[in-house]
Amino acid sequence: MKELTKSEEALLLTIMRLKDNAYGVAIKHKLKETSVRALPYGTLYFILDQLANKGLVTRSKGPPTPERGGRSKTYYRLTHEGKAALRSAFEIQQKLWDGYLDMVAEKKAAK
Amino acid sequence: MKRKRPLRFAERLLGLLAASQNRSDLLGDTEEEFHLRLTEKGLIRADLWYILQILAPLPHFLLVSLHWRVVMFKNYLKITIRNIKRHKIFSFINITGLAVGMTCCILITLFIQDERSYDNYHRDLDRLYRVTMHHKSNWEVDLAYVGPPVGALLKRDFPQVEEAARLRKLYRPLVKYGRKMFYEPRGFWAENEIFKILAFQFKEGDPTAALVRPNTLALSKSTAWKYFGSANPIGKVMQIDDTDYEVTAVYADYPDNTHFKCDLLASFKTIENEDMATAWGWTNFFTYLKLRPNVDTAVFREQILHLEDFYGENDSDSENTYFLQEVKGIHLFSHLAGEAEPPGSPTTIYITATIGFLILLIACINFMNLATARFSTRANEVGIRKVVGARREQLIVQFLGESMLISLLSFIAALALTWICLPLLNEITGKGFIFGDLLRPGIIGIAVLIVVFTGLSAGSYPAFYLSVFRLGGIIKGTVGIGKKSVGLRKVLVLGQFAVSTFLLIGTLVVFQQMEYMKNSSLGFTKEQKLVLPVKNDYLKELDMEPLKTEFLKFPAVKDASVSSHVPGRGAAGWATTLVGREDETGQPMNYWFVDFDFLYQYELKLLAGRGFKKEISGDRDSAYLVNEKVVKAFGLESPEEAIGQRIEVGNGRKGSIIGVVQDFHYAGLQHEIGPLLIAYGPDKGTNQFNPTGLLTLTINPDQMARSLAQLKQKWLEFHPDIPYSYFFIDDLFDMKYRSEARTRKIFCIFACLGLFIACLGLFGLASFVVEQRTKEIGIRKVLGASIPNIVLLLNKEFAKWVVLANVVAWPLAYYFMQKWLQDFYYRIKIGPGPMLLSGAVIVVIALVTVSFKSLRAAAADPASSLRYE
Repeated sequence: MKELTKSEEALLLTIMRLKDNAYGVAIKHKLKETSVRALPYGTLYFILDQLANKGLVTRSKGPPTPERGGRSKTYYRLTHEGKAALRSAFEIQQKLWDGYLDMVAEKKAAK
Repeated sequence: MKRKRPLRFAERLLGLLAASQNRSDLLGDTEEEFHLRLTEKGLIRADLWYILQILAPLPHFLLVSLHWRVVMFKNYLKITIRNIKRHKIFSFINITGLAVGMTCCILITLFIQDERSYDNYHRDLDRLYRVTMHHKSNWEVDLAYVGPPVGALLKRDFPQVEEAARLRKLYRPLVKYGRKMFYEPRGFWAENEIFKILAFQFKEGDPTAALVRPNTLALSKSTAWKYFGSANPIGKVMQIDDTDYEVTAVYADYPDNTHFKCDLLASFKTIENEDMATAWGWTNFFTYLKLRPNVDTAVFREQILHLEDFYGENDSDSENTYFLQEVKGIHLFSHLAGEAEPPGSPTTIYITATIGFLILLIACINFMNLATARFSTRANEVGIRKVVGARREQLIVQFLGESMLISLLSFIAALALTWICLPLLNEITGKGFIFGDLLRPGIIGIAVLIVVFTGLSAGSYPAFYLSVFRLGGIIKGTVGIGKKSVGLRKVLVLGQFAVSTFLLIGTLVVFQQMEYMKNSSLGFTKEQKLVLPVKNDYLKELDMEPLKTEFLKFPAVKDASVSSHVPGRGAAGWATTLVGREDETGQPMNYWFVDFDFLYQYELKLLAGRGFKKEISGDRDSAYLVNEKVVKAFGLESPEEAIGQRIEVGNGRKGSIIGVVQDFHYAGLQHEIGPLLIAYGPDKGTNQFNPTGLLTLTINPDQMARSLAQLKQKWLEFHPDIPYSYFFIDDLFDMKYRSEARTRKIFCIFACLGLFIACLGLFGLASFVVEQRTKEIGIRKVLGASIPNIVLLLNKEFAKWVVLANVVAWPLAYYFMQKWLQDFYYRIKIGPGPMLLSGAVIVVIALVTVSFKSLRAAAADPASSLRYE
């Protein structure tokens, strides 16, 4: 499987964390809280579309909401593949960062 | 109430900008966030934020989308210009072909718009009508004017009529003010109501009262200027045919595009009398109506159809029916007897419009042909573009843009051509167009339409056809263009050449006929004959003899005579019988009245008998000269037998024939020579029927201007109150042939254009075919064919089509030119000459055109042609 990009990774993680409430506004705000990324909606949806096309997330429509001008929310949820992708990403990260914490600990001890 | 939702227009705009699949989500999200901000930070900040969302993608859009579009556009433009530069001949052919087509279109549009704009300027145009009539007795005629009761009664008794005005034409009256006098060809007696019906712009005077009193007169601005200069004409008294009129108004000059042209309007009251109330048969009165709004014209037409029955006016001998005619249609669609101005012709409009469109279309088709023929040179470019990722739309845009640019360039060339051709158009149509007329909104609209149409139609085939070729084929060079389209192209070329041949034959035939008319002897001398006319009214008290004697004293004047008519200026007519055969009905014959010198001055040839002699008193009132046609008409054997025969004329004058002159063409070669009797005329008392008001002088052509000035001076000395004017006999005959000269010019222009465009088409086809057969030619050369062999091979094919075009055109041309010649009584026979000559000319031109291509193909190194993939 192809490696995820940073943005894709961040989005997938946010969707995971939001559980049943993962839709546009919520994703955007969560992303802003947890990372430095402030994605405009255009970019956000572009990436979401890509994720959906790769089969990493699924969409589902919610009921119409008055504060959205009567439009319904589109909820995103991780698929099995999405979770697998996150897992492999995590493993890669882990391998990459392996030994970093030890180094930090050694330095602290040395001080 | 406070607004809870984003600004409507902003929401719309954002919706437009969003990609379609996510639009609802995007709008929903933005609105939700708008709400958050609304509660936290207030309406204004929320609105601002919302608008910012719209502007957010702008930098990205500018950078990516527009930037690349500009880059691609620059690239297309560069490629187009390179292509134009690299293939100079092709570009030249394309641009000139299209430019010629466009020029035709522009000129024809100009002409048509002008024809259609007639009388548009009148107020309430759709309510303006003219009353016309159909007269039927033992003959039938449609008249543009009616009797005087019609206008008066329609106004009085029909509620539908808001205004009615009657006008009667003044026939070339002599108008005088002090020492200034002119014949005015465009004048009417008019009722004052005309100012409420047709549009007149008053400069001086009161439109409601200008022509209310008898003997009042309204002048157009330029006419007033002619007589009064800068002085105020109001209140001045002028003479029209010796009746006094007081000038009460001056109106702006009429525009060129009106059927109703008048330089002076005299009040109708001047001539109005009681007889007019009943004089239904006095059909001399133009009658204009303005109907009330919302009148059912069908009903009204029905009511006036039998107007005379309605008023109990029954004339068993004749039947008159009356019609309404829309003023707006008079110029184009009215061709009645008595029309004051020559009408236009709708057929001419349809034909010229079709021709203009056809020429442009053919030029477009040729453009397409050339583009497709040249396709292989562009195929690699298209292939590479496709490989690099060009979508089909992009290729279409590129090719269309290219043809648009060429169309635009052609248009600029066409403007220059138009400027050059405008005088020609003016000469042919007799109108006064200037280059500034092209700036009329209608014309600009059509011009834009022409450019777009040309660009799209000329570029459509290459654009849509070439853009679909599959990649592999293009790059391998195996793309072929079907056989079917070759056949179509050939038919097209055939058609173009048939048309050109037809026009060329037409030109030659018209030319031959004109030469024939110019060179064949008319039977009298027309050279150096100056004619001074005097209006009939003055002849009662005028004796021309002293003036004639005075003129003869000038060294420049060789001969002089007075007569009632001169060649080219008609004749009087009476029924005539031979004495002793009174039981036969009289035959219509033409009459001229002349003096003793006329016969010798015009060098008419006597076949038998003698001319008029001063010494013989009987010659003055009872002698006739006749032409051969009279001898034949009376069934006499020979001219000699006619001498001494007595004849009786319808006007009661009897006399005997004293001489027979040879037939001469006194009416021009279009007409058959009719029987003509010549009698002695100038004596007082005898000239009441035919005043001899034409003084002919034979003038030495040296120092013509000085002689003319001297003549004028002498004339004014003798007759200061009669205007001096003159014409030449040969000018008169040249004028008679003017419409033929015009026909020849039109034929010639269209023949040249047709031939030019046909050659472009042929050249395109030749390049196309040569391109297709490159390999074949290469192989032939390898196998030993010589250059002449190959040129012959290629030329033969085209010659076949051109010859075929000739065969198609010959019978058509023969048929139509024969029809045209019917108008001439004395005409040439169409021999094989014009056919063969035009055929030869066309074949040679065609072969030269093709040889450009075929020679090059034949001379090419077969190694390169065989290796071309």
